[in-house]
Amino acid sequence: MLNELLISMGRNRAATLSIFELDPETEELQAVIAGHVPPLLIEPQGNARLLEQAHGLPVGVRSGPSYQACRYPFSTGSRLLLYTDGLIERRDESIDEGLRRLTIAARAAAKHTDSSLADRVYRALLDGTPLEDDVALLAIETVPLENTLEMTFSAHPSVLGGLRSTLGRWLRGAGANANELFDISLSASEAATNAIEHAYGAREATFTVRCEHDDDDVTITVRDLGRWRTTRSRGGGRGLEIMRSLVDSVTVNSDEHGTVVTMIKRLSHQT
Amino acid sequence: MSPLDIQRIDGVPIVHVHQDIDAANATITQQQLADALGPDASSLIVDLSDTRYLDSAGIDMLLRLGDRLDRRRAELILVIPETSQLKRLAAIVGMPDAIAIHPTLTQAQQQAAKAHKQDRVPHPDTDGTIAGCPHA
Repeated sequence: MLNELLISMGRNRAATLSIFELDPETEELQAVIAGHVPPLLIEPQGNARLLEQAHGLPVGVRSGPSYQACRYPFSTGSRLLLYTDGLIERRDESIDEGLRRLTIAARAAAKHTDSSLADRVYRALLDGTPLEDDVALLAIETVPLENTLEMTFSAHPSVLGGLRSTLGRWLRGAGANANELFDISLSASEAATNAIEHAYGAREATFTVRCEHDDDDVTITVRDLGRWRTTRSRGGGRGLEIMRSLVDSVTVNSDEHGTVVTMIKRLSHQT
Repeated sequence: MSPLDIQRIDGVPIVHVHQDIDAANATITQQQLADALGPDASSLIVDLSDTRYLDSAGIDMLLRLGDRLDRRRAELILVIPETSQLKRLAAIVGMPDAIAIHPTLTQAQQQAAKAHKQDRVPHPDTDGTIAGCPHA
């Protein structure tokens, strides 16, 4: 659609573009690249490679190009470096040479943790060099989740998918099997939906989700700090019914400060 | 990939849902599913094979959609594979009592074809014309 828009605007409106979707739960990265310089993937062991397979035409060049999404494994500890061509292009050398310099710099920078990866790569490539073009650099990293996870979310339904996805990743680390992962994620999502309903009308309301586990039990606590509202939307009781069926215990405590829902489920440690 | 893929096979609209259904999108999804029925179809197949999560808002939405289709003399048929977590969830909330659920798309299509045939049998009171619902 953007492509057609740019073409309809006339000549010289081409642009390069990259779109990424990172799913930390499945540890997979999807990339679509329209004429943009290839991003650099740095694996947890420090091996760096350019993602060149996903390459397509810039947008705005011609009507109806097709773009293919490429998938790459992105395990915890992987890093992705995105940048504009100003970072690597020099008047006196080919772009391949620039990409080679980038790969070497990133591989070296990945070994250190004293400053951010983007900072180190920028300094290695451009420090002291007069800039010929504008430069943008962005590094993305997935880090392992803590044993006890506490998250704060805006009280808006759009956060529910991210909550389930992060919780799913944490639950896998805690040893939950596929059924347990579904049961606990969905129950937490139901409790979060209630917290979001309670906060209805309150500006900038948030709720927190705390996840803890010992060898046997996973405990999820959903706490909303918004105003308690007694009005419930239609079908609100079904959420509680689902939670009670899927986890071992559900307790709901509410007072003038908010509502706390605590869910406990014992893990079977069997797949 | 679009969150909903709509196709029509032998006049039966089939919607493949490629996303979770929760409080964030239940209302809009219900409208999109209802729109997919079109003016003449007697069944709507909603394929949940690629749906990972369906929460209470999603379940309420499907039950309301079933009622809404019922008023248009159309039937809602869900596809939920045997291996899907949603199958357990559907059983917990008693969904199979209210909505037809099949484990495969082929079985759902067979039920839709049967309904289609029955629909074509002229009703004695309506002088051979096929019943329709103007209030839909």
